[in-house]
Amino acid sequence: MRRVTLLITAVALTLVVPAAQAEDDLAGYLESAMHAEFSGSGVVMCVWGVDSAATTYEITRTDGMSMVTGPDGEFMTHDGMTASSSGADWYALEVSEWAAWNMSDRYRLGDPTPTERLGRSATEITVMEDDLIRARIVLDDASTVPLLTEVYNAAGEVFRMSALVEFEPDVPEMPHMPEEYVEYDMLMPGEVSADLPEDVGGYTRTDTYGLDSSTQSFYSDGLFTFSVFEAGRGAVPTDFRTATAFEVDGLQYRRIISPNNVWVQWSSPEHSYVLVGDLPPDHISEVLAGLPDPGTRGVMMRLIDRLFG
Amino acid sequence: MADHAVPTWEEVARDHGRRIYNFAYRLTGNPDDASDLMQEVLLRVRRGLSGYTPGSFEGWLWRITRNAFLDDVRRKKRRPTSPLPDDDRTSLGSAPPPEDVLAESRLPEHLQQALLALPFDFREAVVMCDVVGLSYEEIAEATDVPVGTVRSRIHRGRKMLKGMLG
Amino acid sequence: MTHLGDLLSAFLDDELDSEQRLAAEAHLSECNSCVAERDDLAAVRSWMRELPVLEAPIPLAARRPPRWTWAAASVAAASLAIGLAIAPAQPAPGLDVLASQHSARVVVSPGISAVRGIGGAP
Repeated sequence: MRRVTLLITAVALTLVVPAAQAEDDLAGYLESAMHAEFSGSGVVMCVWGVDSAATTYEITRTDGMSMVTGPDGEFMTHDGMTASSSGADWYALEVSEWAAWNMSDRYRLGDPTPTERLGRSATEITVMEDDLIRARIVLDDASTVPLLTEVYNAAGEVFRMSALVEFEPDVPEMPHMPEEYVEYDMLMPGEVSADLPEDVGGYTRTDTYGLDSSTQSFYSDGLFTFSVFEAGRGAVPTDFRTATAFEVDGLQYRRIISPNNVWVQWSSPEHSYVLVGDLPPDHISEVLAGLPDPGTRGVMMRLIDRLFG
Repeated sequence: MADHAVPTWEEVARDHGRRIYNFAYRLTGNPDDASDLMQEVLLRVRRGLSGYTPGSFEGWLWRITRNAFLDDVRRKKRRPTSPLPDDDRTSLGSAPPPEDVLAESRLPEHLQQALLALPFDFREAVVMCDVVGLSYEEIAEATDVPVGTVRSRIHRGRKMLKGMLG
Repeated sequence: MTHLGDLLSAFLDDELDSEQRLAAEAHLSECNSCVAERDDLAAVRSWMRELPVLEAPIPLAARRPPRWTWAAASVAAASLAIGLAIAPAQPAPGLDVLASQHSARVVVSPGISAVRGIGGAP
């Protein structure tokens, strides 16, 4: 199946539309997908080497609000506010419109191809990154909802796949919303961490948030996004104890896979870092190479910490 | 306000939120629009505070408020009840019946109606002067026109209001 | 004699310098039509200044809640412009907390997956 796809997209390469227009069209597809209304259920899966993670989910989206139900509970978004019923905390964000969004010019849209999915008329588009096919997206014609997305790593293997298994374009009723109103704190984009670059691996930092003693820096290239959390050196989440070790440029990192994201942890002499995002492995390597290196403070310092810490 | 030069958002919200709301209400006549506008202004103020250089805070704040109102009008494609350019209209718009006007309990209502019948520039200038309490200089800074224009707009606005209300 | 025109409004608003003020007072002592106009303007000005001060109906800034709940739709719509979050208190927050913070920012960016936020934490 993938071979056939590659063949089709190889043909599409020669028919690539002019760059500026292609970018607008891809942006247009993604933006309308963002506002589409529908309900359905699906599966999302991520594979990296021997690590993989998958989950099923149900989704309802209507009127600027979406509710996703997975095995861990509910996740709801409403015009920039998000809330999760599985945890004690909830998060939202300061935006008056949708956040400014710039598509990196390394992406080009392959020629759209008519196809069919779930018995519905659909259009398949490919996202080219230089000469590499980075993603394949099948969009429902009537609603512009992505029915299938596949993201490939540098070797052309599927890295993440997200597919709707059931799809209904008419939403019968709004998802249930709780009725109580609770007071909340506000978090603003704020001071920037001096240690993190403005641009790295083709990604641009768009916001930084300060949270107690840690910061969250959000990066995007218009297609993929990631956050880098920088905290004091001791603050390593315990989940990483069983993480897979891997190397970039001879330096050590640890990673955990979840269906929608990759989590990478490392510590520099000063800080503990957690990177989380949906970007593919080759992008992760480039990004890590541009972020502060893992490292320890040296034997002498550790000894001093031990004695006087 | 606290003694640092740049106010915090909390200080702005606390001290100015109500004034912004009243400005917005008198400008639009609509409580929902007014609270939307207030939210939008506070949002922009928060965003802007990090880029703010201490100067005339009042002027800066009201400039943001005014821009937010105009952006809102453009976005919703709503005319602010009459054309924007300065012109010497004396149309009565939806003026209330004269015998009612000065009945004291109804005056605020009638005055609000009359305000909404003014050309936008006049209404804005009168509201900034009499509701918000800005000086002509501050209004000039907020609306990007010379002080003489501010004075003229306030004057003509008041004359039109008097004409409508008797 | 030229009438005061918009200087009358400036006069009432105390926006004239001392020289202009003296000149205006001098003119008013001699010109009935300007006096009448001044009185009209003064009336409107005081009506405007006596408009009731309304209370802003929206609550502004507050403390952290223990769990999330949601505003009724109309209130939520009005408060969309305002940013909200909870800062985690733990020194080493679990990945579910970081996932929520990341997802909160992700969902306002369009992306290639129809699903944002689900399966965020391992």
